Amino acid sequence: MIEPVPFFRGYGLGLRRPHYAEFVEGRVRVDFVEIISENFMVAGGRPLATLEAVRSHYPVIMHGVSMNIGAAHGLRMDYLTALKALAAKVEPLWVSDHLCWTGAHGFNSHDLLPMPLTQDALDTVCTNIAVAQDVLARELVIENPSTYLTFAADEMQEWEFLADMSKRTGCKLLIDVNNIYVSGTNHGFDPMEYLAGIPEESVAQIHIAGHSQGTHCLIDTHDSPVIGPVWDVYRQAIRHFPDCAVMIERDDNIPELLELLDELDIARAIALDEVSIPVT
Amino acid sequence: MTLARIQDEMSAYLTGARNDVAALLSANSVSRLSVYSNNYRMGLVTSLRDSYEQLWSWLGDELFDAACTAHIEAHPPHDWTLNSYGRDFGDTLARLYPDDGEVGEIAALDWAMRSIFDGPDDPPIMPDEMGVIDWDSAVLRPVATLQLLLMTTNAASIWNALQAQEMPEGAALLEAPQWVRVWREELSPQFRVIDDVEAEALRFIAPGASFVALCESLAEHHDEASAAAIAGTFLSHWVQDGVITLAS
Repeated sequence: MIEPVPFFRGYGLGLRRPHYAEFVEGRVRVDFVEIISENFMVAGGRPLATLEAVRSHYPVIMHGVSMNIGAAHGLRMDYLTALKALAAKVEPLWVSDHLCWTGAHGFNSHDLLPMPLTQDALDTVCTNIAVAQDVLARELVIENPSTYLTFAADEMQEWEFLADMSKRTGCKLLIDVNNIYVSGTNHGFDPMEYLAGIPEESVAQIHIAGHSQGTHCLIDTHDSPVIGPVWDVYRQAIRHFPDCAVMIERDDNIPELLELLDELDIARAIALDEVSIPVT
Repeated sequence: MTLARIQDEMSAYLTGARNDVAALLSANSVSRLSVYSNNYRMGLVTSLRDSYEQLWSWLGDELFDAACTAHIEAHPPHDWTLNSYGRDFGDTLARLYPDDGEVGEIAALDWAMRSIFDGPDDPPIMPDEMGVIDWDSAVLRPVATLQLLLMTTNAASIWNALQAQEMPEGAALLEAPQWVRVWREELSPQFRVIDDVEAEALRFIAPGASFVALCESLAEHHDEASAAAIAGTFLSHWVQDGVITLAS
C-alpha cells in the first residue's frame, strides 16, 4: 500500500538552527515546517528533542538530500531504512528529495549532481523511485535541481523528464522556482516554457529562494533574498499550481526570522493577487 | 553514453582520479565543471570545520584547510551522512603532525564531543531513583554516550581555552597520562578530567557490573572500607552527572 501525497495548501519555512527556539515554542506564523531529513536521521540527543517539540506545533515536510535517486547502480537500503524510521517518528506531510545523483560505487559527493536528460537516465530514475516508494510505503515528492552543466547525450528538456517521471511513477513534484530561473539562465531556456510543461496535478510544493552570480554561471546558494525575476517565475507558478505548499528556502547567511516571514508574506500576497485563493 | 559511464567519470573527476568527464559535456558546460568540484570540496571542508571546531581554531585557517585537503584526497566520503565524515581525520593528522601530540588529542576531544551530541538516548539513573534501587542486585553500566579518552598532553586545557575564546597555553606533555570523561548531560556534551581510579572503575562496569562487584574490584587496591567509600563517591558523582544506567 503506497500512501498518496495529501492535498495541502499553506505557507512555510525551513527549520534552521538560528530559529530553533522560536519554532520549538510554536511562535512562528507558518502552516508547516520543512526539515532537512538527514539532520535528524541520528540516534538521539538535541536534534530529535528539537524536532519532537517542533512537530508538536506544526505539520512537517521531510526534505532530503541523500537519496541519490538518479544512481545508476540503485539505492542504498541502509539510507531508505533510516529515512523510513524517521518518517515513522515524524509522520510528515510527505517526503521529498531531488532529481539528481550524489555518488556512485559507494562514493558520496554530498552534492546534488546533474542528471543527463536521457531515456536511460529516466528509466533508472523511475525504477529507483518505484523502489523507494515501495520501501517507504508512500509517494515521493521530487524537486527540480539547479544545474550548471548539460551533457552532450541529452535527449530531452528537464521539464519533459520531470513530467514523464511523475506520470510513470505517480510521484509528485516540488517545483523550485529559483532553480528554474538559475538553470534557465545557465542553459538558455524560458522559465515560462518550463512551467507550461509541468502538469498541474503533479505539483505538491513550491520552493522560493535566492541565488548568487558565480564566475561562469548563476549558483544556487540560498544565501540571499529572493530577487524580482524569481518572484516573476513564482507568480506564474502559483497561477499554474495553486493547490500546493509554498516555502521560502534559506540555508546560508540566515537572517532574522522576521525577514523570512516578510518574504513569505510576499508569496502570500502574490498568490492572492494571481489566483484569489484564501491565504492562511 | 550510459548514465553509469557519466557517473563513473564525474565521480573520478571529483575525487581527482581521472579528468575525462569534459568530453561528455555539452560545449558550453566545460568551464562550469569547477562549480561542482568547488562545491564538493567546500562541503567536506565545512563538515570538518563543524566537527573539529577547536582544532580549526588551534591550527588556524591555513593549516586546518591544508589538513582538510590532505584528508579529502586520501579519504573520499562513502557514507550517506556527512555526520560520519571525519571520523578518521585523526589518521590524517597523525601523518601530518607526528611530533605534535596535542593536535591529535584536541581532534579526539572535538570528535568525542561532536559524536555524543546526537548519540543514542540512554536514560541515566536519576538522583531521585537512588533510594528505590536494590543496590545488592542492580547491574550498572555507563550510558551509551560515555567515552573515555587518554591524554598525554594538555589538550583538554587548550580545548577549554579555545572554546571560551581565551588565549590557550602552549602545548606541553603531561607528567603522566590523564583520563578525560566525555558524556552528555541532558542534551549538552561535557567533559572532565578524572583520575585513574575513576577511569578504571568506569572501564570495570562497562560490560555491566553490580555495585558490590565494583567495591570488590576497588578492594584489590584499597582496604575494604576505603573501597566502599570510593565506590560510593563515584556512584554519587556518576548519578549526579548522568553517566550510568541500569543494565537490562
